[in-house]
Amino acid sequence: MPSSTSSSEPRKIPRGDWRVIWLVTGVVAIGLLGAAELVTRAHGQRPSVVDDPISWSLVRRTADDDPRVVAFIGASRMALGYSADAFAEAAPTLRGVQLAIDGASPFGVLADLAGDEHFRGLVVVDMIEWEVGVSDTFNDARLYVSREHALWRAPGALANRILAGSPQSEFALLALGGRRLVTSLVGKLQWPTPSWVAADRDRISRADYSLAEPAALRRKRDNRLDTIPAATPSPDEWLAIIARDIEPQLRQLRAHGGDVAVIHMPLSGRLLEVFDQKYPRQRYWDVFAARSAAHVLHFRDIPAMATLTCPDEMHLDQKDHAAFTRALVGALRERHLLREP
Amino acid sequence: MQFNSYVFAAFFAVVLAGYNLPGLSWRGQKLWLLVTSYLFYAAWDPVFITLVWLSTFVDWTAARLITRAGTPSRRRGLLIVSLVINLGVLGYFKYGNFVLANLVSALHALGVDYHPAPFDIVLPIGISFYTFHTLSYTLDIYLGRTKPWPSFLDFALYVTFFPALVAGPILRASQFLPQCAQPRRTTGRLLAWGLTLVVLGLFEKCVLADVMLAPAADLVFTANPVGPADAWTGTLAFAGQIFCDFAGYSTCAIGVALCLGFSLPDNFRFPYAAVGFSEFWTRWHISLSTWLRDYLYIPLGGNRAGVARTYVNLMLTMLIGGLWHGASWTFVVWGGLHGAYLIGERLVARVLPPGAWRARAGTRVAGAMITFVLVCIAWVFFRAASFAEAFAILKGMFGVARGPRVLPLVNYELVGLVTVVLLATQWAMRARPLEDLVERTPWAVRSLALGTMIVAIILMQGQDRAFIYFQF
Repeated sequence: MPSSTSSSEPRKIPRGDWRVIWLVTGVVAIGLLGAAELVTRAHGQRPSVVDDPISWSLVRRTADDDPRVVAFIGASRMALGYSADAFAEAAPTLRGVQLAIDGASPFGVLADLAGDEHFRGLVVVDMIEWEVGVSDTFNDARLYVSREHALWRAPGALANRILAGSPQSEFALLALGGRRLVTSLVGKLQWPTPSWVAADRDRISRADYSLAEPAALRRKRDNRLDTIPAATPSPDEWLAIIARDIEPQLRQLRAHGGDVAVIHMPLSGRLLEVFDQKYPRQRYWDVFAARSAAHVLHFRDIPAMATLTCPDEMHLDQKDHAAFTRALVGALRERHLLREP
Repeated sequence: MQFNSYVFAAFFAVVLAGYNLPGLSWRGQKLWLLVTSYLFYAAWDPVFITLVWLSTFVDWTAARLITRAGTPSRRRGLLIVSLVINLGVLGYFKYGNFVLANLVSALHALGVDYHPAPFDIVLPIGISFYTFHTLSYTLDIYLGRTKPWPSFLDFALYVTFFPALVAGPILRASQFLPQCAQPRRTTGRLLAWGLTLVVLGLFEKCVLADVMLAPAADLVFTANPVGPADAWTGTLAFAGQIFCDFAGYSTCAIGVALCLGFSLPDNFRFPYAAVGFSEFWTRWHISLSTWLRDYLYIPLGGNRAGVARTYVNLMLTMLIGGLWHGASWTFVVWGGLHGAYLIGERLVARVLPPGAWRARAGTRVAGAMITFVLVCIAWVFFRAASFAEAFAILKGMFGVARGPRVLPLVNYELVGLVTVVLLATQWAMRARPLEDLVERTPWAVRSLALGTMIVAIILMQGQDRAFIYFQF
């Protein structure tokens, strides 16, 4: 630590040719960073932009009063399923907005859009049965929604998010994550395995499951199966929760000119079996579809979607997200939900 | 705005460029620093800049009126007004919810069922620091230690100077204001050494504290029960984390100020090499411990009113010092433990005079180890979110509780490695200034070390933890 004891005394500056020292420091740093970037990319890591409440807020602001807006909300399933490029190609007159939040149920964002009287676009909600009735259903997205409502109160964080976007979208080494790097180097004596998900500045995520270690995928799947509650609500309880908590939002959204489509995203393997067993479709989902103020879709009813497989049983690989998005656009168009000229 | 952010790098580059504009007068430079300091604070939340203005205005006015006051009672009255406003604002924002919760508990104990709506209070960042900046000025004027400074611009800059605004070091007017009298510029040598300190501070924060230590502390302090190995590893991790986090911030602040030609006081001097607690507090958060000594311990009577009163004064000072850190009884207990350590040290010194055993290297090392272990035990209360959490850790540390292993193996390796290196470095450097070590280091080694630290800081992105002392 510095040594001086009184600030009114000038600090001692160590002797030396500091110009040379910093010049060589710059060369060393650039050289090492360049080498680290090459090694990181050689291991398959892609650049990825950090997703946080600020970046969500910036995208949320593009969901304005334009009726051509199609907002995609949900959790990681929708985040990894939606392809902005495929949407732009399939529905060139509309504006897709990615508002799904990894790890958060969709209802907090749905409530935000329902409460926004200017919003007149279409909301596509990714919903699966176990999210209904979870105590934190509306609070999951609270940090994101409250930040968007008071974005002006965090100008530094906003500026930082904008500035960080450029380097993060260019350099793969910034996506390594310090902790992952250190634990891999110290614990396993190897460069960290790449993360299979990467996101861009518009919050468009892509999952490349060919990068994932099979054992890690198995662990995630098993952990997920463990989190499914042993006791599920009865169909009547489940539908009552929807009628009480979610239907008012759907009606409110439609009242100010918006519209809603709720979709059950593709699942696969053991997870799909568990869902079929715990939430038989005809007693849960189909009754909800018949009663809801929203247009309700199920992936099994959309042929191009029904054949898609989730490598980790819950999320789509990047090779399928364009097919999913095209199938979704087709299904929405068939039901006349897209406000195309 | 955090030092470890992209936005700070851009902000600082603009500040430096504007500050060194050719032809800009010294007054213009100070005005530029004041405006950019306000922007620095407003970047967190523009609303709370008004509190900084209030604090600046109140103490500037109070100091001038105290000087002009004709009678001691009027002087005292003006001081009380300043204290009430400053501590009132601090109390409302920092302790409002705490007082309310304790009031509800007390009433509940008396059989009164009272359920008030909780205050929706956001703690303004750095309020404890700038409040102590301004209070020290008014107190110094009242005590006759200094005269009112003639320039409001200088005073406003003293309160708001951005390197030290949100997490210290806590500045004294007598340290800072004289530096405003003489024009300053960024020179090549100041910039080089200042940036070196910034890199060192960021390395401590981003690499050691956030990446290598914090995850272990986080895991252990949320587990219950905790076994001995996890409890000790988590506590050692936090001891290292809080040092690297806060000393890292202070080192950055000193470096940033130096780039602008200003000297800030030291805040840390290798505290884990301290032999005894009196020495620890001359090495840990020096600007706070000297503030508490000068404005609390000595006015209470210090050690001038007998042994018993000295102990009471020590304990009161440390309890208030604990409460300064946060609105929680766990902080008070942390302060109380340090008060007890200081009293215990004085009692031990009566039967075992330090002169005798401090002369031998072995007993000195043993003294430092005992001090460090006791400091770590106190850290448990500082880190724990509740007494239940703290006692779960303490039970583990003393072998009373057993629990399933919480930490992955790599955490033991990382915490062990950093702790050994940290303690060895602090012991080796305990009597030497950093500048001397750097001066004796060949230039190529300096470059290699700096370059490696910069790379490590960049690679360790992604943890996104605020400096711990921002919350105080």
